[in-house]
Amino acid sequence: MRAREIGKMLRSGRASCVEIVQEALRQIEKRDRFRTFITLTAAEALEEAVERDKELAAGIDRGPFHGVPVAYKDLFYTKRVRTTGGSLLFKDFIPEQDATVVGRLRAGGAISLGKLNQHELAYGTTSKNPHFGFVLNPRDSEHIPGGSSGGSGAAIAAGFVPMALGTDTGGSIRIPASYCGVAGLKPTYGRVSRHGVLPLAFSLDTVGPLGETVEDCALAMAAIAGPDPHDPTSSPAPLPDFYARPSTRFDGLRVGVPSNFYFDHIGTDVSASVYNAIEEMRRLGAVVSDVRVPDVLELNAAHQIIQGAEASSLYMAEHDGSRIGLDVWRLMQQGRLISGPDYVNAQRLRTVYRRQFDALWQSIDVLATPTTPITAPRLEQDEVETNGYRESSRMAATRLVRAINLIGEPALSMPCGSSRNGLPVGLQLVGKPFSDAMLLGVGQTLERRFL
Amino acid sequence: MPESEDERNRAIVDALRSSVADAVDRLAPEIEPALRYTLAPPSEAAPGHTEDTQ
Repeated sequence: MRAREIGKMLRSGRASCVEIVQEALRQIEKRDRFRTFITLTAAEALEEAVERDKELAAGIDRGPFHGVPVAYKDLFYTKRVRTTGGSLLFKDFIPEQDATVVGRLRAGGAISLGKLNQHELAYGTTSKNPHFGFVLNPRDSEHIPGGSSGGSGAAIAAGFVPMALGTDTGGSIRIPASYCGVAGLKPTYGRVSRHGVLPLAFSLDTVGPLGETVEDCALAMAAIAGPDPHDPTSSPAPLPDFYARPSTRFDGLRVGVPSNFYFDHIGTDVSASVYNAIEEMRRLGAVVSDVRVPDVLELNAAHQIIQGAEASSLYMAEHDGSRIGLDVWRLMQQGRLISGPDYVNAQRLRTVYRRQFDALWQSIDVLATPTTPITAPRLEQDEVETNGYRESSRMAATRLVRAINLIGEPALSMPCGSSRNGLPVGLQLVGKPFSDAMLLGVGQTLERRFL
Repeated sequence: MPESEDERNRAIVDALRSSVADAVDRLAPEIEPALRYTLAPPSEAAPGHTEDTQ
């Protein structure tokens, strides 16, 4: 159930916050064979629900998330609640304070049900966590949910919460959104505070919402976005109106469809659904045109160099890898092989690509692409083949999303159809820096055609 | 003989380094000497002002 529907039930007296939270906890207890949670904070959630009920009875309404159950990827500091990062390295870490975004949602009345499972240290795309269990995709539990925010996507797809926070360094919000059939926004770099969030790669990390719908993501952005004196990378840019009522049409909206890279080696069902969504945008008044995008293979390589070096720099003290899963340890070993000049050159390239994308935004407002070239792979699938093109599942998952982290643009993933075997297909909409609210508006208009 | 873990890691990183090095060569005239990277909202800056180098 969406956040807005829960809010209507609470304000009309059809349900109390306690009843909403009790039902969510009941569902998790009964159906969470997907291993979405690492830590469930049932007692604390019920205590908070009692307080939120008292407030509503007294006429105190904190806003759209008042009394709404939410949950956090286990990278977010939560006061007096264990925050593991999905790793043995932090298995006993209990923060003394909330992350800024957790505090903002708490102030907005949201009730945390606990901490969500994820790919270890947010460094991977499967959420096959060797320490806290493999997260399963609620759409088909023989498939992965994607990652690294796999528990966030799965908890929403399972109907446990309408909104959960995740992080996105190379696609970690958009990949699980695509594979689980939910919405997810990677905000503009700097739009949302990262204070109190375990880092992976400081110049690429972003914090954002996953939601049952794009509207849930918009409501979340209204609660969490904005400058934070505790995060020097947060932007002072004025906040847009995330609540703005979305238009019913796209008249005048310029939508670019990449003629290079983004539709190469794409699953037939995926491209059909994405082209159908683009056609829907055209029917609603958008001006759709083909565009050439900068060399994404180069951008992806520069991203991998930067992510590898920055992530490995955080864990230099780990020498034998005995406390780290093999796939993550392998990436850390690779990061240690990257030289200083390699890292600096990759960073220098970013400014060139930045200019190239600025030029692109002169002619279009939105770039429309698939989020992932495939639907969710099966749990045991380490490699995938797409129309004869073989690659690792990890490279397939990140192929169309990681370049966006390099340049910092906002990008929304939303469901736009399903494959023949019933797995969801994700549409990625990318906009210029700080156009997050515009993307969410476009997504809300479009999702009415698909819901 | 099968590749060792170390050889596999080196091959992956070498491919990435090669791609970045080629891009640096090709884009050399456009590349700024340093790497400070910031974003500003488009409303406050003309296109091309979203990065700053020194």
